[in-house]
Amino acid sequence: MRQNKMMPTSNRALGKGSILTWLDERIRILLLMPAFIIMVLIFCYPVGYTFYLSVHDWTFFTLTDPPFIGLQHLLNVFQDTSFYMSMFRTAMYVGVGVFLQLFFGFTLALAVNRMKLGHGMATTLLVLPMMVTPVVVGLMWKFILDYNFGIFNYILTLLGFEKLAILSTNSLALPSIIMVDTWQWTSFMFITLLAGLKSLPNEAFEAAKIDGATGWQTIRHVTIPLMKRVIIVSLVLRTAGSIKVFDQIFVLTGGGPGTATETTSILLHRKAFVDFDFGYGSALAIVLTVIVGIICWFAIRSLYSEK
Amino acid sequence: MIRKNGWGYGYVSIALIIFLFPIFWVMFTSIKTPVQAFQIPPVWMFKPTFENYSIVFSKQPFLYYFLNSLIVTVLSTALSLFVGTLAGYSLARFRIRGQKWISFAVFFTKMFPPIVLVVPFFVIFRQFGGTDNLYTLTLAYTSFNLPFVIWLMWGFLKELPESLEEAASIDGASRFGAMWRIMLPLAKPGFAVSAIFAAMNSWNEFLFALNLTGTQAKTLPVMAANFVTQEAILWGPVTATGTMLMIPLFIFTLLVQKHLVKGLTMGAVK
Repeated sequence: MRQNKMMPTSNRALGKGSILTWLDERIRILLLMPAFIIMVLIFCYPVGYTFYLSVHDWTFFTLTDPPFIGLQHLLNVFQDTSFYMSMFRTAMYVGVGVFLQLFFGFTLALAVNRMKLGHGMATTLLVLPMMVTPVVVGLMWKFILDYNFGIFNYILTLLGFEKLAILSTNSLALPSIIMVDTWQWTSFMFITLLAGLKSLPNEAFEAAKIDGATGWQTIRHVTIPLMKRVIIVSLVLRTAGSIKVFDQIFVLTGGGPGTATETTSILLHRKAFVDFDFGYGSALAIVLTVIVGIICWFAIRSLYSEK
Repeated sequence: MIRKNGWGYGYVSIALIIFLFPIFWVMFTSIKTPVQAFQIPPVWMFKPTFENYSIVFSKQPFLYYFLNSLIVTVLSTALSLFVGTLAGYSLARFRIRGQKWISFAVFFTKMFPPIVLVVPFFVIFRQFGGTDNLYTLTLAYTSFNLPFVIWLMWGFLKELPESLEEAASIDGASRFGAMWRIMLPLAKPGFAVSAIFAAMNSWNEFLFALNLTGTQAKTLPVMAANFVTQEAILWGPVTATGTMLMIPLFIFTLLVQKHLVKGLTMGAVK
């Protein structure tokens, strides 16, 4: 923990009893206050309100005077197969997507790190996908994968294959939105891991070279252990981002065909803003909050233990 | 050297094609005529035209939504930056009880899925007629920008040497003087990073804008998604809108690339 040695010196600089001294003594709290008040207003209050909503039967018809129904919505959530299915899809989306992003990002970072020619150029260009507005990413791929007008199907026919209605086929829709997520966010893994690689000490690699380690052995026994913290942080950040995803899926498939790509975010949105069942939506939101909280707790703990 | 790294160069080249082709394709299609945009096999040789762009401008109040996007982005970024820096400074400089809990709270709010906040925001704003309003939308955006800025500034200011500030206070500067004259200039790169990310996240935001706005406070991403209708998708104007949303961000990326990498990796490296 950081020692605070500054308070006495700065107090001496000011006259005792002046308003500045008073401010100075309370400054740590005063500085935190605006942020605290704003967070209470736009974070704690809405989340608390979600609890209130979830124990009432809020629908579009009972907006003014919703009847109290207790934990009924929460029980409904836990008895709803569409909830479990959406959790499963989210887990697939996050698990497979983040793994692919880590794999491609790491291998690309290794490759670019060894490049002498066009290093900066390649880095700049490889970062572009993560800069694209998520809605535009969705529109972009909807256009490319379109059955009639998309270039992807055109290339398939050129190669002599049958056209595929990718986004409206049950078995292909989820893998394709995972691929779109991977397209956009491999950039992120690439850039963080590349920065990590650049910060590694040279000595370890020289030692490995002297010991006659092969390229793979160096990566396995020198690079990866040294990169452990960077990898964990990137994984945590990407996992959080991936759980949040709404825009691309909403634009690409809207959760369809049927419910084939209905992740928890999409399900919550449908329940609240299409079916106007705010009570159920809120109960689902609370479940999601608790799950994210648990994930954060483990993430923070693993980050602290790595330090 | 190139021969030795042949595999690496090949791999990076393939990745570049996969990463850049979709972006190129959208921009390329946007300068075709609306009819050519639908043609398969695709037209490769054609006279570039801005027809799709003029369709966007005539069918939608593009400039109005552009201004909305800009206003919300600037307001939310400025608010988060000001308040978040004060909080980040306090957390970095003072010993505060329950620091571990505060760090969990900041981390949790930073990781929080915004979809959870949409429902209460919608109901609360509705009660006092605050939906479809740029200021409430700004507040909604601040709910994800502020934790992000606190997190970044906290991490950034922790790295700055405390001794500088102490020296200033021994020289008779008040704490405010030390903060204003010594710490703020040193914290500039941290500001830049925070501002970039807050601005980018606000510019790209879709979920809140979709559900909390109607016609008055609509932003560009929502307008872009509106081209997708049940009957047909007008690919020409869609690609034109997409291009106009991407170009500012790409220019931005080129200008601030160094800060960008720093912000992304803050906390990850070191």
